[in-house]
Amino acid sequence: MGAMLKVMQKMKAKADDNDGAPAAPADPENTAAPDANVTTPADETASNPETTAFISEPSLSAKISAATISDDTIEWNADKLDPAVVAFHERYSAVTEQYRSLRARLTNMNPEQKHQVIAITSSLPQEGKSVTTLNLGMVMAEGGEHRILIADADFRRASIAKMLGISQKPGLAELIRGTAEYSEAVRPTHLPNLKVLTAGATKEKDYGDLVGGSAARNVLANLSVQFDYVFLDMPPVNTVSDVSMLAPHCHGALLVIEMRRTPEPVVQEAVRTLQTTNVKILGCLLSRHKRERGHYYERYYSYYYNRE
Amino acid sequence: MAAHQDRALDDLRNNLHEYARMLRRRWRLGLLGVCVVGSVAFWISQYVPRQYGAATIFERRDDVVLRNLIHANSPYSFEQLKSSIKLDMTGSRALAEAAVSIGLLPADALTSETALTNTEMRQLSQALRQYDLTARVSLVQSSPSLDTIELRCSGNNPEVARQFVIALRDNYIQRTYSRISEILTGTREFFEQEVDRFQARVTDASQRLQEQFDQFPGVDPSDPASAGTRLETLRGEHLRLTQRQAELEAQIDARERFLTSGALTAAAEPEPEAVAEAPPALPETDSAIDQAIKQVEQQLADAIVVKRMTSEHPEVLAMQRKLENLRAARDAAHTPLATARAETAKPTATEQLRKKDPVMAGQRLRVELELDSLRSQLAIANRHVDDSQVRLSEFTVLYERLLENSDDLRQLQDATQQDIATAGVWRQHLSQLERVMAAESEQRGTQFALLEEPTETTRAIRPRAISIFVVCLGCGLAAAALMIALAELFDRSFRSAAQVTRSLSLPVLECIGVLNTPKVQRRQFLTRLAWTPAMFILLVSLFGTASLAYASLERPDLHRQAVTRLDSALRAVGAPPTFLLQDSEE
Repeated sequence: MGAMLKVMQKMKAKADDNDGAPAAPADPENTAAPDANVTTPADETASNPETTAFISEPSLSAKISAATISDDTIEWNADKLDPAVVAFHERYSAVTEQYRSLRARLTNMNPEQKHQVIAITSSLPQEGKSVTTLNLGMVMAEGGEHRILIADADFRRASIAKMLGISQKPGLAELIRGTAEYSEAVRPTHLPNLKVLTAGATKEKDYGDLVGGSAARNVLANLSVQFDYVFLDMPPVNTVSDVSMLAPHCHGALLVIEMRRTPEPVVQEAVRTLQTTNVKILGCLLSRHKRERGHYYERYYSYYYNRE
Repeated sequence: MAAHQDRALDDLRNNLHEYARMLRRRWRLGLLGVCVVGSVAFWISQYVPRQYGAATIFERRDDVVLRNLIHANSPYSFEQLKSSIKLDMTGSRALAEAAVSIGLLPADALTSETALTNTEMRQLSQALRQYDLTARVSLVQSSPSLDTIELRCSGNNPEVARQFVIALRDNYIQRTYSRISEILTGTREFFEQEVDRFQARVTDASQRLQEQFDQFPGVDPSDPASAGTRLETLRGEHLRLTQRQAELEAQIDARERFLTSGALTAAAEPEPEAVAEAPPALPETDSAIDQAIKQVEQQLADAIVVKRMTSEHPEVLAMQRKLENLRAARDAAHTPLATARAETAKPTATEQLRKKDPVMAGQRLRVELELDSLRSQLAIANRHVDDSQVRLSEFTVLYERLLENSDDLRQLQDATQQDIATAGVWRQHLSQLERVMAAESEQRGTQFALLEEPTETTRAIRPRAISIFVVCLGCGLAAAALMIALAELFDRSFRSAAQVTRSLSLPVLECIGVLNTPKVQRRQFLTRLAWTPAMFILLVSLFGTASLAYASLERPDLHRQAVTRLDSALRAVGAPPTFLLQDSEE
């Protein structure tokens, strides 16, 4: 674990040496103009082949222990990080590989490499939206090819910050209100091309104003320019109407369905709701899917990855 | 066709896979159903009415000699006993008598000796229904003279069933002895009738045979060949007599012609005195006879002395007869001549011839003497021929009649002989049977040997343990299947990616497995923590009730002990008045 940490620190130091400054999110002021000189983690990693190769190496990031990379980055504390973030804790697990498979499908669905804002929602609460958002964001950031932002748009039950063990604000709410800069709200992580945007501090009466105003649309537009993929952790479709207001401004939505729990009519209602609000549903993601015991996928996967 | 088969196979595979998936997913529910419903079923099975069985095996060995004797020679047979064995042991009459024997029916319940009356049948049915008594008989081994019989009874009271089977068996044995006595008595009467019948036939045939013998006196009617031989003998004798007669007639005729010839007549006619005075040829005749006698005596002496012939030799006998004849002829020649001389003073033609030609006179005399002798012989021969002709005619008629009746007579004789033999056989059978009947042994004709006595047991034969287990576990499995089916029916959640695609018409990008987080692990642990004791209790309940059900069937004593202890335990913990022991005692 200590060796891994040293390697991470070495990677970070090399990146600092190349730029002369620590990697930081793009200047919020510059983000107003998408073609401004925004320094992105992708640019950073692309400029440093060693770092790119390092990040592409999957055996390293899995064993990142609790350590602070720098003052500007999020503290990836393994003890505080939610165990459900398997893309961090168990990089070689079958579940993580399933997220990688999802990554491959998403990239294949976007052959022109357009910037995408993808809403991740579900029919009911507790179906695995936040876990999916975090894990999908992390596996998408692997290799440093894409600039990834994980954003928490569930103001009522914000969970990204809790799962990462970081502070809730500043976040998306502050950005929409204009009370925080992008450099403050969009927080870097130990991976140069992965940023996190928490929900921020909200009040119950503000929910409608936050998601229904034009500011939210502008924020989403800016974020879509700065990042290749923005994953929005949205509230459930059938419980609140936030999705109906925010999701139409996204490029598409992923519907998370918990197997053997969410009733079929409820999911059908959610689909109808999304379709009536002109949300393009990219597809479904089935969570807590129990494969048969001794399934050949797992058997061969275990054989392939445990060969060492 | 192949595509259709592949599709059918795929459907089958998918269905099986779906069932297996349901089972894997709902196994707890299934286990709950199996254990709860199975336990209840096992518990209830203890109160299912029991059937107890009692069986006895005994052997009936028939006397082979007596059996074959009766079977082959009389209208009775031991086969009747074998064919009616079920009726004898499990018929209404037998059941009623057994019920009376063990006290299920009063002693005076049976009033009729044959079929039961309606009232008796009703009483019998009530008694049998009260103890649920049934009887079944089977032949374990059957051979012509040996039967191994198994008699089984079942009822709701083991002791009653045991007594019932013993009563049925004993009654059957007694009834069999009685029937065998009846068979022996009837067979003896039949044998006696047969002996009498054949004896009468023999007597009648003998009488008819005697009549036939009387019709053929001096002849054995049964032997036509000897009669024919005798007839031939008679014919031969008759022919010989006829020939003798012809010979005599020819000799007489020759001599008569000699006497009437001219030589003798001429010699006698010229001198009648000479004829009268002519000396008889007696001396010459005597001398000739004497010479012949001497000659024969010499030949006889030669035959005896020189040729060493015995007196029995035919030639000797013939010479003796010839010698006697010659002597007789000489004597005869002397006697008539002397008589003639004395009676006739007047000289005859012979005397005249003797005077004239003594030689011729002697010859004439000899011829006349021979002629006389021949005539007397001819007379005798004629008489013999007549007698022979009469006998031959009579015997011929007799013989022809004998030939006509010979077949009937022979048949009559054969039938008589056969009847005599048959009567002898029947007498032999009768004596054999009477020897058997004279024996004081009760087991005459057949013997019974008890191979297996009904034992006192409290182990039920019905319901069988395997049946109870199959039914109870079947109920449990059916309940489990029903519960799983209902759970699946009311479960509207998604269970597969294909279902999602089919229902939403949306692509499934990925199926993410269960994250093995501490929360999930904790939940699984809590689930196991709750399920393990529950499963243990369920399984203990299932196996406990199954053991009780098994013990109630196979080990009633053990079951009673277990129920007693369970009852005590329930009383100790303050349970309401227990029903275990009360029901068990019932």
